[in-house]
Amino acid sequence: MPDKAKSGLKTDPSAQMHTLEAVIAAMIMVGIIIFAVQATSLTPLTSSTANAHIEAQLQTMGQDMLSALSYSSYGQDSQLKEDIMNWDGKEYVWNGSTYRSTNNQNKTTLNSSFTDILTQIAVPRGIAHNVHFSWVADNGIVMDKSYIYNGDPSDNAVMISKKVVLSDTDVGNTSDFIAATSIPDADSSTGFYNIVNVKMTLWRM
Amino acid sequence: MKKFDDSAQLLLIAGFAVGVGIVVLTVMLNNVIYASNIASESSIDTSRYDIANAIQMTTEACEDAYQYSINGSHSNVDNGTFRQYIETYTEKASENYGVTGLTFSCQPGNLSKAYFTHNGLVDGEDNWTIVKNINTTDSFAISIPNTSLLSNESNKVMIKVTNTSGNTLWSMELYNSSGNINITVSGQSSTIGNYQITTSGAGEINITGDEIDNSDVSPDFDFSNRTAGHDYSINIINGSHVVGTYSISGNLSTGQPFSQARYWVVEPTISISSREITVNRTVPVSLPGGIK
Repeated sequence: MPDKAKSGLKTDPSAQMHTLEAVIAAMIMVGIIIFAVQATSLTPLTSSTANAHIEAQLQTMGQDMLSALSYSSYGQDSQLKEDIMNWDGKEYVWNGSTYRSTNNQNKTTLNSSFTDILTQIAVPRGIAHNVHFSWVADNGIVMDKSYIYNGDPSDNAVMISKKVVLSDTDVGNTSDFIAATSIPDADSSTGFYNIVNVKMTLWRM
Repeated sequence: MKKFDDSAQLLLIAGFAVGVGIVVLTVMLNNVIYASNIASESSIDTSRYDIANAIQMTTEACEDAYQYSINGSHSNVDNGTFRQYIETYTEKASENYGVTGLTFSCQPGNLSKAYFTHNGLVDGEDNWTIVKNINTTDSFAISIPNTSLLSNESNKVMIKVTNTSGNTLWSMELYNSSGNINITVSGQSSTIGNYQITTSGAGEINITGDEIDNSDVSPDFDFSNRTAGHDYSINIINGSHVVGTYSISGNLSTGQPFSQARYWVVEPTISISSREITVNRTVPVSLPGGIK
């Protein structure tokens, strides 16, 4: 065997070492990449109920729902105002098929524009929802009453509100309205009745 | 062997250097993605929604206040009652906004005569639609009490009724001619009639009732016949060239009734302030607006 060939065989062990080192280095690099990606890839786009994008989406959805309900055309009262005026003061809960009064003695169901839009939009998407009506009492304290109550919202719930102006002519018989809803006449000397803040809370289950 | 040891150490160091570099790059990329997403959320601006709500409330409050302020006639408005209603509304709205840390105020402004523009102001939209998708019009009347506030023939004011294809079914042109109001009413392709209101007239035109200043006109305006069986819109052209009032009622194609009028326009100024920002808006409100 020539000397040159002999020396080539002699260096074979170093080539194997180089290959082994390269493989180990590659494994270290891949391991670091996997570790880094797993450790730092929690972005707002990561699929989770606890991220800001879903909250923003719920916020926009809620604003659109209330804006649609508060639209009034050519002198008609808005559906939102009609729902307040037709409210009997009871609290309702979604039982899977309808909005039913939480009062076991008197199990009435609620059919309003609000329940229509919630049934069409929130219910099919699995979005839990509460609706409250609030107003400022004469002593300046904010009073609050449930219209639809489906339980305590999660930490990631969003609240959307819309204020509605009521006049005496909107309400009609003011004493009956007060007895049913507890919303008082803010000024009996003028035709102004009160401002009701409709507060809708939405959250993902 | 020494030569091999040096190569292995070099490779290991290079491997670690590349690994650290990848970690740094990943963290930086992650920060960029996170920051851009957080920035995108800032476009969800709730203040616009709140301002829109305040404008809607104030508009409804002005319309309600007006209803309590007229003493049987739209020309006899009790400004004191109007202002008292708006003051009560402002006080209650301030309490409601105060709960959320905002300051609210509303200056009612004064009632003024309305132009035939979209918002009732002289610089409002000239060409606009009063009502669209109408099935029947039960009553439609306009009034131009001051001829001097009507432009001459070069800037004719037109009330145009168009169908859904945009074709004109009926139109009325009005212009000032030496203090008189000249009126030309046309159908789809021909003139129906020419009329004139002299300087001594009140300028009241009952379009559906075929009357000028409570007197029958000849020939009839023929509004109802020309529009019957159509889904149509009533439009104003060159509205800034006349001051006056209108009232209209009827039924939409959806079966829903409509009724609206404008005798006055008022410009309340609302202001909503937080620690950081203050938003002021002056909103023209047509009165009585929609009639319940």
